[in-house]
Amino acid sequence: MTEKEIQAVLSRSIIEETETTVRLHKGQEYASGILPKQGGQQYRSVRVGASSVIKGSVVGKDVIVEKAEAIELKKGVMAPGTEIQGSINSLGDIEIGTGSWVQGGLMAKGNIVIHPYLTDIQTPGHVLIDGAVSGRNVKIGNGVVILGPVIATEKIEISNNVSIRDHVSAPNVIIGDGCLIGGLQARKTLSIGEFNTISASQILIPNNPEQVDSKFKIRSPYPGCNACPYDSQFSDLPAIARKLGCHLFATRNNNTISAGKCSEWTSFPITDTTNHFNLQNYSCVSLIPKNAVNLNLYAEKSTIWERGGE
Amino acid sequence: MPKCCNAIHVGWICPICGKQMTITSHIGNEPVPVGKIKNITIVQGDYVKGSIIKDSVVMGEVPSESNPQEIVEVQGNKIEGNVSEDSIIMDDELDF
Repeated sequence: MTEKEIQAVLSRSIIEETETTVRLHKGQEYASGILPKQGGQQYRSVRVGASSVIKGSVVGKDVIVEKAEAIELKKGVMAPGTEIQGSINSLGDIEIGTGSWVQGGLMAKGNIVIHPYLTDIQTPGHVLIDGAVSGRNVKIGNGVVILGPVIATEKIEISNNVSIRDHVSAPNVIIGDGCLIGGLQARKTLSIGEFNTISASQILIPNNPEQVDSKFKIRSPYPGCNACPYDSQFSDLPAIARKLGCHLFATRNNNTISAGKCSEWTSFPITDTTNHFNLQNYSCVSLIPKNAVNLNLYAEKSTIWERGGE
Repeated sequence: MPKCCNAIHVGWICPICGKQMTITSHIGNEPVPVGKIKNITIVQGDYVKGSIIKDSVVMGEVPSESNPQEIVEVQGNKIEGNVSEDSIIMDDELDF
């Protein structure tokens, strides 16, 4: 048989399972999760083919979700990308390809790599994780959208224009340019680029200033955006969520991020230690004055951003 | 990154026009908005006595079925016992 004939034979079965591997073919619909049915199967490596859909969660050792491809499901209907309608839980590493949508979270004992969200390709280019992401080391590509928190026991590397609705927490955190992040806890080292927004009034950074590489200002929507000079442009709802990713703060093109026309935004006083709270492992950089007594007053104005307008 | 109004943006809502980022699922042809919290609707009179777990990995103990004295008068649907579907329930902690 030729290689094509072998592939054709293999693709007649949606899924191939052995004692050590599970392979879901490209462009397939699998009606349940890929879950161990007996002891030991949780250590199988799982590979999800391009533009397939799994109607459930995936549990395995190393889990790879392949990059989406232009696959015709039926005449005139192209597959919208790879879709996991549950979570991915791994006793090894997880890799998520471009063109994937995970409707749950990612949890790995090892490392997690999430490939970039691409807009200039003919195949599905989105990368969306609805839930939380946690692993030993987590690497997130350009433009990825994560609606939960990202937590790592060692290091988180975030590329450019990444959106993380909840907080980011790890001993070592590297953030590129133009990102929108819900909150930040970096215990040992922090490196952060330009045009980033953290939608909180307080962030936790390393105690040792030498371990903080922050050459540019980091935007907080509180308190500057509470009195937005361009409010009329956001009069249609939902104003809070739109202001978090504000186009007047930073303008994004495919490969560049530049300053927008607004200059009224607030930045975290990273280098001004007078308004830092020293905690055991962190320094808390706060935009709420240290001597504030009526915390409810501040909380009301600051937490609207932390809740993301929802 | 999401694209709308001929520009790329961060977040899940276009800051320029306010439209929510959408994504096309394998189920249905219409793009669905992302970030919409998926709710389970329990209406007045429904009675949930156990736990319902679907597509999940749960670490820890799931409450066992018990038959306490009935103290609730049920008018609507009644769901009893623990229901788990496409899920794994780990009683013991993993040795991480």
